[in-house]
Amino acid sequence: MSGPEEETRGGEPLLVVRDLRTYAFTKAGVVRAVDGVSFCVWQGEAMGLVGESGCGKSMTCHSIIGLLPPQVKVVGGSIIFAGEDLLAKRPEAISAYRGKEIAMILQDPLMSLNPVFTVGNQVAEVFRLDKPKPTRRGVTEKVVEILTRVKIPAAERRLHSYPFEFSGGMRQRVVAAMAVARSPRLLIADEPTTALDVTIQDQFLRLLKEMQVESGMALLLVTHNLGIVAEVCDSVAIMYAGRIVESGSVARVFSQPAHPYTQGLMEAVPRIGAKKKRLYQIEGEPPDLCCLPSGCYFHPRCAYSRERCVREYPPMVEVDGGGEAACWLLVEEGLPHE
Amino acid sequence: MMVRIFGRKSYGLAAADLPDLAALKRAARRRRQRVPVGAIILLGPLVIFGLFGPWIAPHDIMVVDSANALRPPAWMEGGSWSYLLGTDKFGRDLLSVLMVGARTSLIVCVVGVLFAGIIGVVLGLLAGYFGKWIDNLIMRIVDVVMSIPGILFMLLLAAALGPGIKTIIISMGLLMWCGYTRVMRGEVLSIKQRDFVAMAKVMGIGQSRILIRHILPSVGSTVIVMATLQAGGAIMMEGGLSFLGLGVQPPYTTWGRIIAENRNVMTTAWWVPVFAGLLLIMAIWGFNVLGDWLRDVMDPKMRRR
Amino acid sequence: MRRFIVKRLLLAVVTLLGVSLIVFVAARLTGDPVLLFAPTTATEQQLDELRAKMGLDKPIPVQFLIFLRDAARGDFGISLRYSQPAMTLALKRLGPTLELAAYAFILGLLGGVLLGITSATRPGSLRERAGTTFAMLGLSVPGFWLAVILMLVFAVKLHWFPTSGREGALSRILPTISVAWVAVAQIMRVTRSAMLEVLGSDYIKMARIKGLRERVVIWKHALRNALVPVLGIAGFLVAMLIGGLALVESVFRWPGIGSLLIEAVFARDFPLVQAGVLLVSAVVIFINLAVDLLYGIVDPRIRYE
Repeated sequence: MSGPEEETRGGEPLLVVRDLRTYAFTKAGVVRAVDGVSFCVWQGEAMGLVGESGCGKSMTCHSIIGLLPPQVKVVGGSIIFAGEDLLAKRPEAISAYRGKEIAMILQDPLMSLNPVFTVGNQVAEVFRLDKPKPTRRGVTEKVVEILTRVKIPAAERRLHSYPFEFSGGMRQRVVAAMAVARSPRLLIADEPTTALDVTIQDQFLRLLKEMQVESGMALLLVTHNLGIVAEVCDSVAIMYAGRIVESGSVARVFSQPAHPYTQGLMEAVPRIGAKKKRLYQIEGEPPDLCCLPSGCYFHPRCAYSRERCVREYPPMVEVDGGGEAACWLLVEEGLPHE
Repeated sequence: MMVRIFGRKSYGLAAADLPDLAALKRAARRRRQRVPVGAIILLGPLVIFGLFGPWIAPHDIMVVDSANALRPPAWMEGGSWSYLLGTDKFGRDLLSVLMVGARTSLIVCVVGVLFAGIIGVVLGLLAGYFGKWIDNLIMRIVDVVMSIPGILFMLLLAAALGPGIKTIIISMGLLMWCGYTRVMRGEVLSIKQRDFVAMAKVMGIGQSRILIRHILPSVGSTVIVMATLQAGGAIMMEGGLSFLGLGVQPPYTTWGRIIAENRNVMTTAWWVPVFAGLLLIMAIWGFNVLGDWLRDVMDPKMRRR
Repeated sequence: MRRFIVKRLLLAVVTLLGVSLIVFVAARLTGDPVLLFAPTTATEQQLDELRAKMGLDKPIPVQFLIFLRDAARGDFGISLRYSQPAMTLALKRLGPTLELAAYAFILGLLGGVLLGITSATRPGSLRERAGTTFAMLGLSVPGFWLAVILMLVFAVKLHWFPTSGREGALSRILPTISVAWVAVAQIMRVTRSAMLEVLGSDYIKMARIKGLRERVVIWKHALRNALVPVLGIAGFLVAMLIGGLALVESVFRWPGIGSLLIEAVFARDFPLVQAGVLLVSAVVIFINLAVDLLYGIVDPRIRYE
């Protein structure tokens, strides 16, 4: 595993995901949602997990926190958190991690909060899980404190409000408050701003970054939006069809993308002042996870594909400047392409 | 490679996580249910006896034969194989009576459902399409009708109009339309919002034409499902009313009426209520199963696949 | 919140008026309405007096006002059979019916909710499939038939329960079970589908993410949301229970308002029928109102609409 600027990192990574495979067993066949994903996240680091819809980034997060739907199972690999393999633990042991060590925010703030309970009640629930059990007044104080911290105005009065009385941005902040209430070491954010207005997105991301830096927790941010990654993350991993195709520091990946897919993604970002008339789009569509192409999954859409790309899946190799990518071009010519 | 199980059975399927799983599941289920075998078996007696009853009944039920009265079913002591299910208190072969009675049960049910359906669909369309005070008025009427328990409404009409087959059909019609109206109204309201109706309006097509050509086809399948499920309720209601003696009157007979006629000898002649009731249950259950199957089959999300 | 209460109250009053209208119209469906309200022995002079009192010579709207005025004074006519005020008789028999309805509702709630939760949280298990079949049957078996069978088996054959009457705690059991089964089935269906939907939602996932124990997730977060639709059918369920009880009361000779109405129809005692139907409808409307208000408490979103 490599991380950017390894010299500045002390000790072991907080989260090491190694060759994670999560398959969905349906009547129509096996869907290889996550097919050999490896990465690590250090304490205090913000890592972005980027990819198009259906590439498996959400499944990866759900695998880490242990909340997969019934037909979906982790079939291989390991998820090592603070030295312990989560996959080797029983489900009851995992629920002890949730909320306390690993927390998660979901995409839709409206659906994330229970409509029939007050916001105060739902946030208080989290604190009541602490041991030793805090007093009623203690809990209320903590709730007000955390709501204020996520910049909800007049938090005391809003304790008795219901979720539908809040705006989308504020709801997502309440969700964030619930997530960081017990100071988890890792926060997974699954497309937290996708359902928010663009103007609110920025505010929320800033808040997220602030909280992350303040508390020193690790952040795993899943998104399809490269702009967000550029703003918030230190390192990034690009996923395609259930596998990671490139990873590295944000600085390196954005300035010198090694994998053709990453290059395509960077090209596709519109730039103000650019002279091009048409927006660039990567040709073709992501493959159906039931019937993946042979060899490298990206080869049908890749401008540089060779015979080897059709035959064999490329291994992850180190890239100049830090990080890795899985592409035959790097193996054979040793240089990223323009 | 070890398979590690994560998550427990109680975790529901969150469709948003796996966009294809839910649809794949539906497609697989649909393949399994091409023919509603259960419904066909259950509704068989009603349909077959209803259509052919008088011709295939082994005995003439118009003949009263007191000597033969109250024989138990064939396999019991005192029974005889020519009276397979026993006889009733008039000495009539129970099987034959049930076969003949099926026809009236079927007719009452079908006519009642049709009557209710026409009223309900029309009112539902009007309520949904024109909205405002028409909608309000119609829905208030629905509230009023639904505040009177069905049987009591039928009792009221039976008291006012006298019992009989006409009264049952009228009361069914006046009672069962509410379901159609609610469902139709909902569908019309949701379709009304859709773009293609707005397009039609913009192009200047008249109201009734929009109603008939654009809205009706989308709604047809819902009505069929509703009618099937209502048919089950109709048979149940007719059975109940006839059981009280306020339903069809002689010479007509239905499964409910047979039970009523033999009510005072019920404690010894158990086979009458048991077999008549079993047929009723099969018919009602059959309609419910058929309705569910139709609902699955006609799910527009699946039609596209 | 206050506006909500006032609105619902007004709706209840309007609905009650609507029911009165239906009863009023039902009485005037035959040629000479006075015949429904006078004993067969009445002389022509007595009939004329009655016609004048009811205002039958006046236009229909005025007749309706007379009807309402009398109703406001508590005058619903004199029972032809018992020669007493019809409403007094009806009120006396209301209690026993409500007693059974209450038991059946509680039984239905407990059984239905538990079955519904099991069914939703353990799909495909033996318990779940048995429960679903049991529920499906509950919707397909007519209440009166079940009453008959239960009576034949447990009261007549086994002598465990009395066959009729209201003496002793045991006498309540068979009638209650006869109607409760449908209630269990309906509530189970609604609970199950509501739970399935709720369990797939993000806030349940969020509850698990927070680290809450599965038991808390199901019984606090999921159930609270799933019960909302159950409350939604509560009003309809009560109407169904009381209606179903009419037939069951007849089978078990339970002295409730249902059996009173049935007797009244046979005795051509229209004033009693009229009073009974109005009373029951008033009860249903009142319960619906209570449910609506409860809805406002249970689902905070309703309060603000």
